[in-house]
Amino acid sequence: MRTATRATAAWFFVVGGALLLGGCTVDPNEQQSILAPRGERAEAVDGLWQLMLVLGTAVWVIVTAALIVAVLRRRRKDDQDHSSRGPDDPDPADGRRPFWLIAAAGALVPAVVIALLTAVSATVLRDIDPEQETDGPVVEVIAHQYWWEVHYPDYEVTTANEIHIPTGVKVRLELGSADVIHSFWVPELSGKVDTIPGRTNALWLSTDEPGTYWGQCAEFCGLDHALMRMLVISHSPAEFDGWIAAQQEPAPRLLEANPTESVERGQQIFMSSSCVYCHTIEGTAAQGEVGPDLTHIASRETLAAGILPNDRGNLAGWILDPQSIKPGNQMPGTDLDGEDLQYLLDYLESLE
Amino acid sequence: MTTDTTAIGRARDFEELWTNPRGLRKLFTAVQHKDVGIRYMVTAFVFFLVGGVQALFMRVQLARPDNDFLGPETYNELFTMHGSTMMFLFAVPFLEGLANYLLPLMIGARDLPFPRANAFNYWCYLIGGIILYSSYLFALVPDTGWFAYVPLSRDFTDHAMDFWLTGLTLAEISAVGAAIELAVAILVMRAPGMSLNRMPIFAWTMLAVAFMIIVAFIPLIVASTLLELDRTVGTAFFDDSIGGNPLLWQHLFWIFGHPEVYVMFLPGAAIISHVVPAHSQQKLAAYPLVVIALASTAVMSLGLWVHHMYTVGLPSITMSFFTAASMSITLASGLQVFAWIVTLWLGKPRFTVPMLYALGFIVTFVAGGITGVMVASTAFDQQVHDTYFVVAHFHYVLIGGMLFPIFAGLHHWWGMLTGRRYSERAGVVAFWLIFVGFHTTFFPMHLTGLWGMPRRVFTYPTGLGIDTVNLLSTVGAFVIAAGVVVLTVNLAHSAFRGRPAVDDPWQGDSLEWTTSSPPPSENWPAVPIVASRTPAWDEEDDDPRYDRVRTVFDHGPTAVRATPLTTPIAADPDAAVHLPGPTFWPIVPPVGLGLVAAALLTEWYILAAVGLAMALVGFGGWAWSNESGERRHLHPESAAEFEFERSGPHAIGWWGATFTAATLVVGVSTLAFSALYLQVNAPVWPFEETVGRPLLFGGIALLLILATAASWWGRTSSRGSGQKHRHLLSIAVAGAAGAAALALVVVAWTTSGLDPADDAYQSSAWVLLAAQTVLAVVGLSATGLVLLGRLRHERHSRAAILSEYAALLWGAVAVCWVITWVTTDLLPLAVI
Repeated sequence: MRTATRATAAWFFVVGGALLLGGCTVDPNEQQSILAPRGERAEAVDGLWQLMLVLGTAVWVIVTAALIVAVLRRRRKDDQDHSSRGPDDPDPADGRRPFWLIAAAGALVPAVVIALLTAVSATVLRDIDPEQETDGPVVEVIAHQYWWEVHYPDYEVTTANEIHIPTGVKVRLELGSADVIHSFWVPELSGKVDTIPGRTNALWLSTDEPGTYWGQCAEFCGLDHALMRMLVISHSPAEFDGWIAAQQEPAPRLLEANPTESVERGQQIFMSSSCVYCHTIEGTAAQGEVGPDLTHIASRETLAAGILPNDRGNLAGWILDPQSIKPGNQMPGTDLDGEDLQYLLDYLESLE
Repeated sequence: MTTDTTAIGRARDFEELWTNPRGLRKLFTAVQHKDVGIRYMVTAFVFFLVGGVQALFMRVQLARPDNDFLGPETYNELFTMHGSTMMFLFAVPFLEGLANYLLPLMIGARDLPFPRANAFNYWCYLIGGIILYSSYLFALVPDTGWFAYVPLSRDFTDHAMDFWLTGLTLAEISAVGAAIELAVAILVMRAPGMSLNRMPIFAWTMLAVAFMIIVAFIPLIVASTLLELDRTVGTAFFDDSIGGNPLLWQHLFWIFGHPEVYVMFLPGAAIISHVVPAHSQQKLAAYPLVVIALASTAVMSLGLWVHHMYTVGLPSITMSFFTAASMSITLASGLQVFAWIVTLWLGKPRFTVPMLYALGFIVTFVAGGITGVMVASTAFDQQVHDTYFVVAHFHYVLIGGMLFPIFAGLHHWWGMLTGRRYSERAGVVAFWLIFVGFHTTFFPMHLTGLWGMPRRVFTYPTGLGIDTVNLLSTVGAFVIAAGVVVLTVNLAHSAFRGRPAVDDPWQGDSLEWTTSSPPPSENWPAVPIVASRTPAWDEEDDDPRYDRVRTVFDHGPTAVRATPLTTPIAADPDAAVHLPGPTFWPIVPPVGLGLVAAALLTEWYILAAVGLAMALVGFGGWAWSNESGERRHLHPESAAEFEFERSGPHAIGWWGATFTAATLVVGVSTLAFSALYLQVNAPVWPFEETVGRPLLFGGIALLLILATAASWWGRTSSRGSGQKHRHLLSIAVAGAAGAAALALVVVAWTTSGLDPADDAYQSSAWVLLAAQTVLAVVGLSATGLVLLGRLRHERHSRAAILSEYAALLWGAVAVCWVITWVTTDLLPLAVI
């Protein structure tokens, strides 16, 4: 029994250790991985993580090795235990050597490691201080159950769920909430910051190269917390200016540039339905503020806070029955007939 | 009552005295620590199984991406109930149950100091759990997480949260009561000779845990009350539009929540500090360091809570301070880990089932401690906070650091608990299933989190690359479940069919192994005398100064159930305590309180009146039967040297009253902190003027001081004939002053023009005054009890000690009143 247990224990640690090392090297499909940092803030934290991973693994291995040796070391036959010691023989457990060994291994040495980690951690925290001076545009992000409202106050642009930023500068985000606490998190770019009612928290993002970075609400915010994603899309500065210019166009100008009958019918259907109570389309009578601004909805990559690719089929499905896609969100279903739906889709798809 | 002079007759009388009813009657009337402890553990274990099944449902849902096995509503309910159940209904109550059972055995007492209050606590806990789970009957299952962040839990949910708030508040009240119970037992009920430096680690730990519970659970009770008031009365504590602040909830919740982690872990570590020495036949190494470690953990745990709030936008300097504090607390755990390793090195380890769990605990807990250091770093935590990395971390610490030790302890003390043996082979199989299953489930979760999966999501898309790790976790969860099934079947089979246990199967070192397994009703026919830290390995002390206690408590006393009291440091016997027999009274008030909660939930307020009446009758009947029992108990054979009614810290009542007074002050201080926090942090404080009635408030203060002084004046018990009149006069003055104070507090509360729904200042002042009303009623009840004690007894000592306790409580009420006054009137002016 005893030797069998020893062998099992030894095997366990060998296999477990191999799994541990193997697990850390498996390459995931890194869509929103902390381990694949693409921005200054996330990179700073990644350096800290690697230091802590090395130190932590070393500590675990040393402690486990000490434990295994302590348990499995060969005992001499004449080793004393409490029953063979006389009442006046001192117990080694009360001796000075075990005392100082335990004090050193358990507290004194770890204290040095911890002092080091605290210092490094504080330095990194200073490097990523959210109140640092920024040189890019300011973006206001208001979290809602369960989507993100995005404003560019300098450019008077409003959009939703997709944050476009220029590369090479620090973009300041000012985060607020319209209802409950959410948390803004784009792992490849930065750690998270909560959005709290009655409070504005700041954050800056910077990217070195253009790309799309996925993020997700990270504080439980209700029924559809899992379905509240967002995108940060980084452009070269020139492309960013182009994007801003396109977003500044009010919707009817687009319509005038490309007038077709079906788009106009679609607009009439939109304006005469309950859509207008909740959504805004700049330049029209639709000025609702409950749901996302749809002025340039066709220019977005996703629908329903990053959970569906923005194509005609998904848009139709969302308009007809949003509750089956995202139960409990605030948009009611509609009962448009097939023809009207096609006109409405034509209209919405024209809003680039 | 006759006393036989022969030893046989004495033994027979003694045995008869300690005989209890059996069967169903025992279930409802037994109040002894072993019965209550078993009840706690069985109930908590059932909740553990329920919480485990909830976890399995969640793991099935997460086995595949975009799975539709469960909808978001069900999933959110499951993780809320899983967390709440494991934290509030399993972990803390189970450990309290284990401590209930073992602590008196480890310190050589015949029971806990307040057995009826102990039973009362159990019933509160059970009814709290039933209320929480009754939400399933109404399809109103709480779904805002075990942390219940506002405003989600305040304005964006239905009645479900009321089930959570009322049910868990009852369970927390029971936890505070149990903490006082255990602390008093450890301080003054240790066996003669068990000085502090000979106290078992488990006792040191429960003392530290009791301290943490008293300081930390009160804020959660206060926070839950404030949230319930926000939801029902419309107070503004968490409403940011009129001066409230959602972060106040987080501060109060985590001031509770972080010590809670150590409330669970320290007893786990203490179990290991008993299992390792017994199973390696070696005294625990560096005992003083272990005691220092756990004492400093208890103190430091109160200063770490902000590390749960690194993402809410606090200043960097604040967060770096909490990083340093959070990392430092690992030093205390490091000391304990190396104390166990050195003990194993010095001893001769045997690979028994408890030892396997202990070794599994060490490797797992160390890993959890290391990730704990990582998440203590603010910068790193902002990335992994609320991801599966944190889920992995705290399951390593809680399952590794608390569940493994509980299983170690269950197998270690199983014979002591049940008098039966379990199958060693099934125990080993269960261990390996649980251990391997655990690491298969939770090790991959570190990666799941690092690869970007947040917590509390009912599903995830396939693009994140976390499909395999999630599937692995699900497989592992079922392996754990298989292990738990084997463990449960093994232990259940043993409990009913197992072979009889031997008294001391491991040749353990601590005192509980010197009695039989299971112990007799009175634990110790002859109260043990302790001469070392390993009393089961050493000879009993034959020091003549213990002769008297040895004689009196050897199969005695035979007239009343009693156990000796000893001094807190040296454990010299200096008094005795009378222990109650079976009674049904402690079950009545919890049922009444449960009815009040049910009435609030169903909004059927007639039921509340019935419940309140039932609670009052319950408390009244309890007090009456208490004073009736105390009438008879003074018996000549022991009264001479072991007084039952000594004043001051030589009585359990003094300690009970002192701790109760402390909880009241902590509660009102928490309210005061909340009020000031809101004012300091509000961007616009809706403050124009304070209550501002110095004459009225000053008058109340004077009346409360008078009630305190009068009660204090009545605490003498000289033999003179004027003594009874002195008592009656003191009761009359204290009662009149207290009643007048109560009336004036009600006047202040109702006529100061405070509308609690208007703004945060008025909410705080209104709630503080409401709390004072309740406190004044508490003080008056204490004075009422003194009157009852005076009228029911001829001797003076009973009324004298009750008067002393009333003075302590009135003093606390007066201190609370000063805090209230300062908070409502003086500080707001200073801050403005």
